[in-house]
Parts: sequence; structure tokens; C-alpha cells
Amino acid sequence: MTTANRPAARKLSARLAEQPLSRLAAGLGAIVLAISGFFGGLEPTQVPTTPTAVLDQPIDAGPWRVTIIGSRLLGDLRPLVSLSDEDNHWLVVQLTVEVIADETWTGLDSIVRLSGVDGIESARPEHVVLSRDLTKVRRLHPGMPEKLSLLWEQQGDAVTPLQVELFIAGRTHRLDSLTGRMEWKPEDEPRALLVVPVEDRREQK
Amino acid sequence: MTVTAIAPAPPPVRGWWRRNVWGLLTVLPLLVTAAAIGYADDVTEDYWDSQPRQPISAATNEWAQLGGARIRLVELVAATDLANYAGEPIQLPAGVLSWRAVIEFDAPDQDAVAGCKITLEDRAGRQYGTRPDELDQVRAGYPGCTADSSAGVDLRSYRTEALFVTPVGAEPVAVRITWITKLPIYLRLLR
Amino acid sequence: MNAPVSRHRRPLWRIWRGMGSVALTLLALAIGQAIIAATPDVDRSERPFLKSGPMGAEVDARSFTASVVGVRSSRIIKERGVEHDTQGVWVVVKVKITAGTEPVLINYAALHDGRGRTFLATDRLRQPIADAARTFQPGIAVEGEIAFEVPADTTGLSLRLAESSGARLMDATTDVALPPGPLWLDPQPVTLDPPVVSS
Repeated sequence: MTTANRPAARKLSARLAEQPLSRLAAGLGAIVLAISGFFGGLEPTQVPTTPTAVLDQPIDAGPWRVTIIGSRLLGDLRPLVSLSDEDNHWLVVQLTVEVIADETWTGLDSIVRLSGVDGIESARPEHVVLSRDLTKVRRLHPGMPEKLSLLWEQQGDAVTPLQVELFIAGRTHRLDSLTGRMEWKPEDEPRALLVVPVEDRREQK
Repeated sequence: MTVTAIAPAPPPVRGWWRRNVWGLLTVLPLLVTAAAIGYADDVTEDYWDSQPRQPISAATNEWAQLGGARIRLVELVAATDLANYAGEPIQLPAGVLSWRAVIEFDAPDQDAVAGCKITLEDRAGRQYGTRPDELDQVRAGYPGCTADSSAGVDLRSYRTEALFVTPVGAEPVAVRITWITKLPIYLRLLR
Repeated sequence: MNAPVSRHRRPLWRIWRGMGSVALTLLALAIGQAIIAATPDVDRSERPFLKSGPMGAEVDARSFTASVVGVRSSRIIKERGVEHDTQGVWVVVKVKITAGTEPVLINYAALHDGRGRTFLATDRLRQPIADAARTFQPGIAVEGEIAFEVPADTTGLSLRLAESSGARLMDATTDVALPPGPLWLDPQPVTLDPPVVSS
């Protein structure tokens, strides 16, 4: 078989064939990059913004579906839980949680995070209480949504909030690079942000 | 028309061997070295060392030396006089026997004996733990290897008492004392 | 007549040869991917060993044996005078457990249903033998109850017990099928029996 007789074609293919392979690969890479630019490959990445949610709105956050009901301040809740100082009080967030994963879920204190509340140190609640029978629980089972109360202790001399900012944390079921197993991994960004009014119910129980 | 010379036949096998003799000679020691490096940091050896494998044995009333401490089994007998918190004798369920071990320590250096686990070993090699739930009615202390922190204890001579249960038919032969930090070495005080 | 130019010197042949190398590399990668896809992943290869058995039969779970003695269910469990209701059903399983050569704690107790859901033992009350509540001494059989809270529509329940907790990698887990069919609900509140040594 002889090469094409047309001089132009022979010149191009001959010249291509004479290039070192590395240069051919670089040229191909440049072409691929340019093509990807047409399909949005060169757009700047979007900084994700947390969507806002409202009360009574179900929020899917991976293994659980969360509906925030409300928030209130409560006083002495003994014998269920004890304050570390009798001048302190409890900030309570009430929510409904349904486990939509296929197994009993623990880690209930990682679902909701508080931020920027005076006199509260920890973003995570100190106690998780099942409203049905006022027991402290760690486990919630699939297929049975339950009303929970999350408790944070607030210092007595702190400014009592009229509203609080809550973050709903989500998890993704993905491969853990260390163990090689599929695990529910915490996400970097919260699934939702809510601003919830706080009722002061310290006089009642 | 040019006539190309017919290339000579390839040299016989002997030539290949001769050309590669040094390479072949180094393959064997290289293989052995590679295997040795591969097995040098063997995880099985770490696992083996984390289990009780090397007993230091002593008969009843004979002192065993471990670190700076001396330990001996004073007695290992059936415990027949167990009483509950009200002082009443307790009734064990059918098929269950209870045993008492008294261990004596001579350990001025308490760090040498701290953090131990005491178990009863039977002839079949089974091990039984202290403070069994079957004896939760019994008024008994917390067996351990360090002296009770209350004042007036002579560190050269103090004792601990441990209660165990076994099924009927089990024959206790020794009391084992293990420290995670001392494994695979452990103490085996024979009855 | 001149001898024809060697094929290997033609420019187009060199391009074909380069593409052939690329194709062979891609083929090797594809074969590698196929092998990875066909072999079990870590979750599968490190999964617990399920030990099945019918009700009443002793199942070997490596460091202990277990047999399911009975099952009760109810809408209310009473514990220390407090009644606990549920939107689902309480399932109380009575098991007989005998430790093997060393003292054993049951750190994993769950019901597995026909839909592939796993329900761990409830923590709304104090479990008498699950969640490491009781130590089992070798050779001494103990009967005790474990309480679970499950949705009312579950079917195909089986009892899964293990000494290790959580993922129970490559450890034994019992898998004893509970009686099939709808659970008969005790109209009276159920109270858990304390564990007893069984003769």
C-alpha cells in the first residue's frame, strides 16, 4: 500500500507521524480542554449556599427526614435531666425524626446544630429525649417517625434568645477511603438552615 | 539479483544458559530476600504476641516473680459459705458451683502490678471472670492486684479475694493473672 | 525496480502502531476494571458470618451458642412501674445463651426483617442481657429476654446476636427465624423476665 498521492495529505500525515509522541499527546490534551470549555468545563465553581427551611417542613438529610416543630426555654426538668447550675435553664428544640435508612440510627445528637447563641458552648445538644415517654434515647428505628426534644443548657446570665439559628446536618452514604466500606459520612455543608422563634416557658414545665 | 546469505541457525540452548547464568544465580537469593522482607513485619506475629502465650507458673503458696513484684496463690477452694447483703446464706442455681481464690502480693512498686485481669482456669482450658452476675447477691469486694487505697496497707504483704462460678463438672486448675502491657507473658498460679 | 519502502518507514504505519499501543493499554485497563467489578467489595468480603438455625435449635456464634426459646409481643411494655407504648409493636424474644471458653457479653442484638431492615434492641428501657448488660460464664446456660420495637407491618423477622458490636467484621452472627405470620399481640402489658440460669 502506498501513501496517498495528494501532496497536501501526505505532508500533514507525514508531519504528524514525525512528531514525538509526547507532543502529539500535549496537542490532543489541548484540544480536549478546549472542547470541554464549550460544555462548561472551565466555569468557576459555585460556592454552595445553604438552603433555608421553615417550621413543619420535612427536610431529607440522608439517613433521616427531619421536621422542626419549635423551640422553647424550660426550667428545671428533674428527674429526667439536671442542670449544672440552678440559675441555668434549658433551650429545647422539638422536632420529628424519621429514619429512612435501612437500619437503626444512633448519633441523634448530630442532626441539629445550634450556632451563635449566647451562653451555650456546644453546637450539639447535651440530651436527646423521646417525647413519647420522656426517656433519654440514642437509637431511632426505621419506619417509625418519633417526636424528639433536643436539650442545650444555657447559662443563667446569658441573653435569652427570641429566635435561634439551626443547621440541619446531613450525611451521604459513600465509600470510606480508609476502610474501603460504605459508610454514612457527615457532609461539609448543612442541608438546611432555619431561624426558629423561641418561646419562653420557664415558668411552666 | 542479490543473494542474501542465509542467517545461521540460532545458537543452541547452551548459549542462552551461558548468557544468563549470572542472572539466574542471583534470582534465588533475591527471592529469599524478598520473602524475608515480606514476612519480617508479619501481622500474625503481632497478633500472637498480643495473646497470653508464655506462662510464668507457680504452685500454691509458691511465690512467682514478675517485674519487681512477688505474687502467690494462697488458696483456691470451693466457696460454700457465701452470704448476701443481709447476711443470709445464698442459694446457687442448680448446676452451678462457686469458687474462692485468695492471692497474696508483695509489691512495693504498685505500678508493676496495676491494671491486671484475674481469671479462673479449668482443666478444659476455659476461663471464668471475677464478680460473675450469678453472684450479684453476694456481699463481695472488687478483686484487683493493687492494694486498697485506704491507709495502713503493707505493700509487702496484702491480699485480694476473688469469687468465680463454674458449671458442675468443671475442675479449676489455676488462677491466671494477665496484664495487657506484659503480654504474651502472663502469670499462672496452679492449684 | 527499486525494493519497496519498508512498511515500517511509512508515516501512516507509525500512527497505526501508536493507536494500537493506546488500544492495548485501554484494553488492559478495561480488563482490570472488569476484574474489580466482578470480585466482592470490602463490605461483602468482610461481612459477618450468618449462622442460621430454626427456633429451638442451638446456633453456634463462635464464642457462644444461642437458641430462641420463645417470642412474645405486645403494644405496651412495663418496666419498673412505667408503661411504654409504641406506634409499632414490642417484640420480646427469649433466648438461651451459653458462653464457650471465655466470658461473653452480647454487644449486638437486632431483629432483621424481610425488607432488609435492621432494628437494634430498644434503648427505651434497661435491657437485661443485651447491650452487655450481663456476662455469660463458660458452660453456664442462661435464659433471658431482649426487647425490640418494630413497625407493625414487619414480616420475616429473624434474631441476630453477636459478641462484637457495630459492623461485626467477619465475626459470627446468629440468624434465627422467628415464627412467620402476623405477631399475636398480648393484650396485657408485657414485663421482661429477669435472666435465670437454665438447667
